[in-house]
Amino acid sequence: MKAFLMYPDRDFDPDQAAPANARELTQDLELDTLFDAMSGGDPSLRKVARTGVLNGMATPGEIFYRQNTLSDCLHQPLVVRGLYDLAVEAIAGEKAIFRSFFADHPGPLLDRSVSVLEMFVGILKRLRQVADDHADEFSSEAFTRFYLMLSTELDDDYFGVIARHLKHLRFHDGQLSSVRLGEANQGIDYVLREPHEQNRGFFTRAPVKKPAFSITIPDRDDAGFRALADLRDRELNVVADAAAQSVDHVLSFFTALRDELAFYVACLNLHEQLAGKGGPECFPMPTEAAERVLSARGLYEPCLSLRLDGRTTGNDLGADGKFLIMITGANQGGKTTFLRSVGVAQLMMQAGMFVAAESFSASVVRGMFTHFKREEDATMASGKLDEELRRMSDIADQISPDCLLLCNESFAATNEREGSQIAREVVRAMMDGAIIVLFVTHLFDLGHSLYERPPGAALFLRAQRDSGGHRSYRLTEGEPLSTSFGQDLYVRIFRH
Amino acid sequence: MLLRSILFADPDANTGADEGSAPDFFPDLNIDQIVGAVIKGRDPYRLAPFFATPLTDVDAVLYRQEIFQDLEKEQLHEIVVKFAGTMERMRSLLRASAKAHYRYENERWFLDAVAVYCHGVTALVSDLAHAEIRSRGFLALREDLARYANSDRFTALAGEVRRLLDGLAAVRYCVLTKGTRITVGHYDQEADYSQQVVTTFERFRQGVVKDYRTKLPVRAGMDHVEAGILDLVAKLYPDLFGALAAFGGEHRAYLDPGISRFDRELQFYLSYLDHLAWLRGAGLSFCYPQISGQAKAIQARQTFDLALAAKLVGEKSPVVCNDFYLSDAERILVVSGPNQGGKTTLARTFGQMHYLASLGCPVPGREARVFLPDRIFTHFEREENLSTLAGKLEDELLRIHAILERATRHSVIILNEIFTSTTLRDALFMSQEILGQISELDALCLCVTFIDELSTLNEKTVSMVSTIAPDDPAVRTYKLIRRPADGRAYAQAIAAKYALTYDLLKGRIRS
Repeated sequence: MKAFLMYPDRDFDPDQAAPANARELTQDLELDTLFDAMSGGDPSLRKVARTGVLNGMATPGEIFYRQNTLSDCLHQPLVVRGLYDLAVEAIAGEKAIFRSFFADHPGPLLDRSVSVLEMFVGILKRLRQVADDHADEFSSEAFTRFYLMLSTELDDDYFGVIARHLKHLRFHDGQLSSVRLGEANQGIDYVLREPHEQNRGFFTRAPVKKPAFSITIPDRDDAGFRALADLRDRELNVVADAAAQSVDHVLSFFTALRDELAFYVACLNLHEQLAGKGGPECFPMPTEAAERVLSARGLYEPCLSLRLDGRTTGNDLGADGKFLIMITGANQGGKTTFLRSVGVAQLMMQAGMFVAAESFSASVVRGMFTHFKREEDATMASGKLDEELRRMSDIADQISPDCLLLCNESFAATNEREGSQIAREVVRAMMDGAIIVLFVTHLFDLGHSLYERPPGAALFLRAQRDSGGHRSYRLTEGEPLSTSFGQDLYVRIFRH
Repeated sequence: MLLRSILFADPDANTGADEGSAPDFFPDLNIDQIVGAVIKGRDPYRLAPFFATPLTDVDAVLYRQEIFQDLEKEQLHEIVVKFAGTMERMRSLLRASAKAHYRYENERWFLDAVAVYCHGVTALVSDLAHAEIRSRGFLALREDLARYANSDRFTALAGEVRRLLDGLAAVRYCVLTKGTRITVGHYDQEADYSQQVVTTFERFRQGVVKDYRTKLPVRAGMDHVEAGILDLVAKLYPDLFGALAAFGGEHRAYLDPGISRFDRELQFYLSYLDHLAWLRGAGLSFCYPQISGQAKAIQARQTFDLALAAKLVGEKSPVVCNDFYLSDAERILVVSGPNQGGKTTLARTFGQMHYLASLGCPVPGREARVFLPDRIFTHFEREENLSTLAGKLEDELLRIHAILERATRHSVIILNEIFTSTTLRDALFMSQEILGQISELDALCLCVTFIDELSTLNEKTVSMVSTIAPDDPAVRTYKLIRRPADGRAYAQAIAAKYALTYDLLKGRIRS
């Protein structure tokens, strides 16, 4: 039984390794805010959200599969949360059933396994009930398949068989085993047996073939009781192992179900928070990498929006076919936020999620890399430029064509002329390597020279300010200007 | 009876020294790392407040410098280290006493602790009598200590300890166990039976045989059987054990607060000197700076970043030393030049020099002349943080504004890489404004910048530049020298070092 709610043909592994640059991505795009919102305060949801977002899918087909599944969830949030709660209840229930100090002894192990299985059966029945009641309210390929699986695999006959076994394993009528003699006439090869019906006389206490003889261990004979328990363990060894394995199997089904549903529950959490802010959401339109699509309307940064009281400003973007998007202009003009909004939207799209925009369409990328300016290294190993170069070199080790590179004030640690020189060569090499580069910079020399002689299809955006000097947080197309308007900030702070 | 402080010349000046918390600039200057390394392993002495409380009086600094210099002499150093060890032993006995379950166990640990204390004080007094001492602090302390050791209070205490210890050393008793019964009595010269057994069977000995003795585990405390036996012994010696019990009751407050404070203050010096000894072993020099509260003509020869040095020495890497000075009207060191050239390190070195000097500590370098500041201010670049929701430039301006609001002409201001997030033109305008204000204030300042023009701003500015190895532009020397800024940071060479020039990078992008 496979849930297959995340991928059409494989399981979702919440423990899979994140990409090598996951730490940088998380830090630079402030993804912790996103993960927190998705978690709703639940660490296990957070983990799944993180894995799901950071390990995006490679093809539009896979993305559509998940979008459709998520669309079902958005229409039936209560049913989906109910399914998730069932899986969580099963897993928590298993943990709550006492694991004896002697759990490695077959007797106690078997008793526990039977208790766990009884509890599991109850939850499986409720799961089947959900399928019976709600299957027709879902339309995605994933959920249709899932519900069909529940009703065929968990039919009433099957529940009947399980119930009979679980009852027998309690051995209310005694346990019967076949035994051979081994060395020194010790019992070996204990095999548990089911008594014949004809030996179950109404008045007989032991359901075995007659004639039969008995001994009794006297009260207070503690050593005697210990010996009996040992015998029982030998007899139950094989069956206890089988029962414990059954527990593991069912538990792993519930665990996988919980992990896959967890991603959708996390998406529901995020949706509810963003919807509460009134920000638009849409299912993006993924296209093949070669198509070089990157367009958006009303694109905003969800992490910032989640932190702010009011709404954030959205931006439009039309960069289809471009390899370079240069973003220049006013400080506090929303350049970094815009850069993050593109990165986060791309990640969410490839995770099969809705994105924070009125519309968003983009080609899938093979990987996303961020190169953001950082605080000075506290270990004193090197200066700032050295650290920046090393990080860019790490990126160069991993990056490949059809990747996306987001640079935020890169190479500003040295002076403007030389920072521009280094950045220009990096941008050129990346573009020629079929990598799409978004670059926020205040290096006028860099912006200006690339504007004059763009090395490929390029788009230049500028952070806006209105005539009163107020920032609008909107970006418009325009060539780089030679100032970042820092002077009026200075005047406001020092000469007020 | 209170002993005079070895940390504060003026007994009233030490108020607040116990509460001091680390100044804001500790992380910028990596002084938190220095202090952390210095006081590591000495938590019980609570030294952090001492290192967080700079002095603003020249004489107070000299008072400590004298003590440091005395303690650099091996003889005195050995004496006080021995005393500190005694006090540590005393505390561990007190802890054992506090943990003990049974009364006679508890009381004996306590007596031993007091005995160690009396011995330690007596030894310290007699050792100091022959020690070569110059500092005002230790001369006063020697006097105070001698007076304390001769006081009735102390001699009575020591006498009582001696009598009790002698009495306990003379106790001997026997234990008889029969079945579940245990009997205790006075020792009566019974012969050694085990020895008789050994002697008897000695002749059968053939060679090495297996050792059947069990290694006894370290005992965590007394068990109840042993405690019961001890109760019986106490009945054999009622006077002695009565006196022992009374001693514990009467002398809880035996420890003189002055001795206790001396023990703690001593660690300020010993911890720092230990740290230095390690670095001196690696060939680094330290010196006692000339301190002035007026003259701003500062100077340092062959100085270095103490935090970085500790790291490099730990890695067995060489430490590069630098010189700097300001003379006449000069107040502002403008540091520029190639990156990775040690500019930030020089900024930290400059700040550490002033701060360590203001603690009364020896400073890195062969020779130093330092101005004693009222405050030190630092401005180091911070990581952009979305939760502030303020732009980086605004944040920077607000922080620098806050510094200039509080700084006086006695302050030291360290600006590391300001306005890197805006255009060259903006940065130039704002940096000039700010250095202009600092010039007017006449404060001491070190400013790391990539803007060459700042180094020739006015008569108060002096240019220092980081240098490179002439034969290989990618190799940094970490040497900074007084020289006009030349505006070439050789960033291209370092890009090649990381294979990030166009040709090299293009070749690295894998399909």
